[in-house]
Amino acid sequence: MDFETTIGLEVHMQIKTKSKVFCECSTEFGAEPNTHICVICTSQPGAIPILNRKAVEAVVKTGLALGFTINKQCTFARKQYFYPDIPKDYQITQSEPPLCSKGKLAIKIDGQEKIINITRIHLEEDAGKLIHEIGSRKLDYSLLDLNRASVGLMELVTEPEISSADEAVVFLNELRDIVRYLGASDCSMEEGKMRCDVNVSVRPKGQKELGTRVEIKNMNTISGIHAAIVYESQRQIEVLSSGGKLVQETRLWEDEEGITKSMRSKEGALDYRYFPEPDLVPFDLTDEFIENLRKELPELPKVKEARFIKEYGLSEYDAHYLTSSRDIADYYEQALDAIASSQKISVGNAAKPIANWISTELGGKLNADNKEIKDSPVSSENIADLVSQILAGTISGKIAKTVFEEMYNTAKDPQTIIKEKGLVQISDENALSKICDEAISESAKAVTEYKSGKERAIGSIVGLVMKKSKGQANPQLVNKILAEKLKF
Amino acid sequence: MEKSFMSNEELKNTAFMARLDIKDDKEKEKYLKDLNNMMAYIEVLQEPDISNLKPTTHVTKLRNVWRDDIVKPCPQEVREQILIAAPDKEGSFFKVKKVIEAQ
Repeated sequence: MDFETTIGLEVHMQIKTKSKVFCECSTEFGAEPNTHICVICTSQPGAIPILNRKAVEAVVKTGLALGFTINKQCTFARKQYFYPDIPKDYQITQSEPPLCSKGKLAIKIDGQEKIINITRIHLEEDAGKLIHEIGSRKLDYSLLDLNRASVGLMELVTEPEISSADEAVVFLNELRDIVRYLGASDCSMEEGKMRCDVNVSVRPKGQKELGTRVEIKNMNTISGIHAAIVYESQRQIEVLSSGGKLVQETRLWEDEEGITKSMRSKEGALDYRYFPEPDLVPFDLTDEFIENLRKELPELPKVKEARFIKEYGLSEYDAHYLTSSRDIADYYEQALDAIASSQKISVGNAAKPIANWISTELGGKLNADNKEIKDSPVSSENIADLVSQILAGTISGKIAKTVFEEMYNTAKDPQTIIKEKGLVQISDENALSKICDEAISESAKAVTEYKSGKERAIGSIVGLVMKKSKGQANPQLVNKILAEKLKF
Repeated sequence: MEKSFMSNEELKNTAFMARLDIKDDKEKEKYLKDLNNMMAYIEVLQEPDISNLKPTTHVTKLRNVWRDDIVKPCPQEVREQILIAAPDKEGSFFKVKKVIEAQ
């Protein structure tokens, strides 16, 4: 029998704010344990939460960017459960309605567009962090750090409309790009700022109702999510194929073993007993509040990518790379602005080579050094100037690599480096003619071969000229001069 | 008592969710009786027709109460006091019982 897999995602993204959502403690990642705590986020008796406006704005912005309906009137709710990472014994979250209802995200699968509907996004607080092992030593108790407790979180829940591990990965990458563009979250999975619960079920092809759902909790790498979905749908298919029955349960992904394991909770059946949070007053968002946020929405990655292809004639690959983060896209367009204001060469001519320099040379170096483009020692103006120098014939493409290397290491501008190192391309025909004569007299064999019709032999003579000129000879001119000198 | 609102099973679940330990049958009887009395008392709320009313979650007229995104660290003495007041700690961590096991 053929089966099909159905996947729904619950994505938690830590909201990018300086202070926590319900208190004024810092959200800094990686601080010493329990240094960013106060009476509110450790729930001392009588402490009352105070809402961070910026967290609300981040959620509403995300909702607007994904076409959600903003529920102007809504409240917070208490979700009650006992777990040591949540010191109040309830989490402040939202029940019905959430801040954002019914949005969608279009993803591209095998060149085809597919719409994934998103049920909701709500605002809530994060829990503390429990540590179960120190190094490789498993503890028989847990250690609790409340630095993360009450940091703002948005939870986004999709409809069960994702049908493969690959689709889930594309969805998450796409979502992450958008949310980063919005500045709503860093979405860094390494820092636990984006986490995902994955709901997986399988059903025989053609069956209408969904199969029994299994929830895989707290996934925090994209590759883990992919592997867990592949494993879990295969496991479910095997259970059903061998006549077994599936139970609705929560499972944990064991990364090292590459399997999911049933999670036994001492809680028993959960009943969260949601009720409206009395300590926080309801929202009654004005149209003005929402429209002001809509005005702040940046151009989103997909739209920018299409514009880069159309406006600058870039390849899909380059456009995708340059729009993968807002910083890279801004850097690129700042470089083009510099070209436009220098008025030496046209933006149309520079657009592609600048894109190439950013995606290959600069991107490669930054990647190797684990640096972001905002920390690039090469400014956008300088990379623009470097490309201008190549296009104007001042330096060859090859020399440009040497210049770039120096620019990256010293943060100097290209013209200074070209002057200091005497790297200006030799385009003076008389000077080149002399070097060509020397090269010809030293390349008797190649000359004979060339004259006997083997045109490729000229290459070694050009090479010798380049060597003699320390790479500074203008290669087009050298070719031209040699061809003339070696004419029959 | 004419009407019973809460069954034995419901009492057991309610007690579990509130992490209350009911010692014996005698105590169970007492809680059942008290809770049933309370629920009989508030039963009167079932009478009015509220089908045309929107739920009231808060009685004040306050809306959109929020602050700017500014960090104000808690004084160190207070943070230390919070750790000291915890039932158990290890270094600067709170120490708690382990709760999750995968099988």
